[in-house]
Amino acid sequence: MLESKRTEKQTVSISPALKDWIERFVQKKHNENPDNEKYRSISAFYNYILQCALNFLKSSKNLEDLNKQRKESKDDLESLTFRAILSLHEEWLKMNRYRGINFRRNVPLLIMIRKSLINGKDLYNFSDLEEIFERCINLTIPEEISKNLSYHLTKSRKLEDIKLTCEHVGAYKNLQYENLKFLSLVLGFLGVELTDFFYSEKDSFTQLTYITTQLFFSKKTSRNRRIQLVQKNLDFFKDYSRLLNDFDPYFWMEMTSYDDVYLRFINIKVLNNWLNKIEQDLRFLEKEEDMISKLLEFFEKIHWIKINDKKDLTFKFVLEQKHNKEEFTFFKDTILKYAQIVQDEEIFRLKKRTNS
Amino acid sequence: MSPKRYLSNKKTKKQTISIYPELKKEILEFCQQKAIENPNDPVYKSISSFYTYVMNEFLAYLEKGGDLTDLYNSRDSSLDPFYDKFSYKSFAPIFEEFLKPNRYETSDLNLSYFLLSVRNLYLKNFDPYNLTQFKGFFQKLKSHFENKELVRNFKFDIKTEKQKRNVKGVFEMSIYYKNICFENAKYNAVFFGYLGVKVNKVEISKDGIYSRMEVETTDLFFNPKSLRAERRLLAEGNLKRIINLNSILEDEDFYLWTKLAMDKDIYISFKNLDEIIEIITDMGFISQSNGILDNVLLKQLKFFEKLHWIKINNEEDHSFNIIIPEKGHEKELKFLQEFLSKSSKITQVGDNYYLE
Repeated sequence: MLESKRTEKQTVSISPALKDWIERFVQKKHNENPDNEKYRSISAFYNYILQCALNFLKSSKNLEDLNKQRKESKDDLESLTFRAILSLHEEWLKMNRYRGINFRRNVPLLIMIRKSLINGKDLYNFSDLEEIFERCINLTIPEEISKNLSYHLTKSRKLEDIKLTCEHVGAYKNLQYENLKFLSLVLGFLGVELTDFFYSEKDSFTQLTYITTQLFFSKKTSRNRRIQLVQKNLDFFKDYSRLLNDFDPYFWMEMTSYDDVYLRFINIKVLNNWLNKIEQDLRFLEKEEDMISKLLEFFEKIHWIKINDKKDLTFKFVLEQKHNKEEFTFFKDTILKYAQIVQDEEIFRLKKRTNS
Repeated sequence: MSPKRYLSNKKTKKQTISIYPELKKEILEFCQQKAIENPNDPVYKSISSFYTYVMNEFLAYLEKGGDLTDLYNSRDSSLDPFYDKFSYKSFAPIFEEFLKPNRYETSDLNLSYFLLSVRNLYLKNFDPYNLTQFKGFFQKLKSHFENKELVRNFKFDIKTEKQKRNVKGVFEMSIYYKNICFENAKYNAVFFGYLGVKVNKVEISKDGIYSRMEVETTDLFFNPKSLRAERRLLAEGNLKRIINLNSILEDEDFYLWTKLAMDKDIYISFKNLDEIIEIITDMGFISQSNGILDNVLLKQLKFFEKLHWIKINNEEDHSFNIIIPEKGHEKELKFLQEFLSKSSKITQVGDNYYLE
């Protein structure tokens, strides 16, 4: 390929070692792939590599990245991590404060973490235990979110009662709280029980005391028992006394899980105000034609009705008319602006108004 | 494997190769340009140094089994020093769960300092009128963010012909985790706003792991000034394409409730008011014999305050106002009076009530 085109000579100064390395590499590759034109001559190899290098460097990369990437062979746990922006995640985690998590979905991951932490370790050897807890803390409490972190293990007379005390001063309120949840989740799955949790939000200070249970020393999977212990540990983070002093949406989120709750408006203007917001948003998205179905979704969300069929716009009231006359009046007054209501026994259907 | 050897300062050898004149010229221009940009970088001091650098790095890469066809998939690390300052190592599957409640929160808008810093970093030495630079800029971002662990696809297609001032494009991103993908879509919409780019349309796939945005530059994009207020306004509009009552109504109940919780004219009621007793008992605010629980009365008042039934005036005096109107809400008021009377005496002075 090279020979068929016009070429120029170029002489460069390179170290004898590099010159030798190039020559040996090209010779070896040529022997392995005699038909590959890249390795036909030293010049062909140079041309090929220099062209690649130019393209690579022009895409704003560094050649060091080539070899750095190959060195970064992550282990299984590392491969599940990523660099997250601190200020973003601090904001993003805010709403999770009192929420439980669906950790059952993560059981395979927890099994993997447990294996990685205890494999090859003697659980009755104190220095091995220290190593397990240290790795567990390093995995769940990153340095960047901490102002101060200290922990120590205490032996007791009974070999199987090991106490872990952990004190943490957080640099970020939400990251601290959620990462401590993560620590308690992993420790719970290992078979370590959280027995005391002190938290001062003002100082971002926490003190946690954990004690190993028999489950920690058991080689059995005991999946259900481990999940129960995780749940017990996480319950410490769902402190209702703190919830009552916190931001209203946390409490309202919690209340949606109860069956009998619904929302009331102190007057119809308040309700109309929210419906206007829905209308404005639909207008912004150019979806005004969806207003009627959105109204039904809204009333379902505040637990006044249950939609039977979204397409047919059919629904049932879940509130009792005799106890909620006001809600029935509000509902009808609002809906009638957009549609007609047709009743067939308990089932209601909305009929879009025609312009005639 | 052949050992890697370095160029000696004293001993060098000459190597003459045949090279295409176009490639030779391109290398010369590239090295001259780089030498001006980085006068202290020894790599670009001479053509020989550049060849030595390139051949050393590529030989090392090839010897370790590297494939030059993978070359453009390697990660760009030039943005690492910036992001490393602001980031920490997060565990993706667990934080995926933790991020769920944040879905319809708009807190990204508050990060103007961070967003403007990122904007300054990206647009440094960047000519917004140069489409080739524009493409190179996104190539650089793609190369930084795309990785095996989290981001599956990061793509930006420019749909504008050359010389046009307003650039239109389609930005696509796939992330292996649904909630992380959603949060990133929100962040990107806000960041586009701070860049001066308007988002015209957003699509998020049903499985939630792919987002697509149709965007176009505004005059702000070409304006080097900070103009924080204007950029924030654009960011708000962009975010509204993702967070709006239309999407909230299609999701789980608690997302709407967190929004309604901010309106004091809406309150939580119960189809069966006796459920309140069950909830208060579940939360542990009922028994005065519970030694750990101090100030049960205040906690009960706070519970009703969170329902938006009352407003506490003075926590020490246990004084409060009832904020739900009497007419039409008699059943709640009757329940409140009966419930509080069980453990205390209620005294009314004007609109104020006191618990004794």
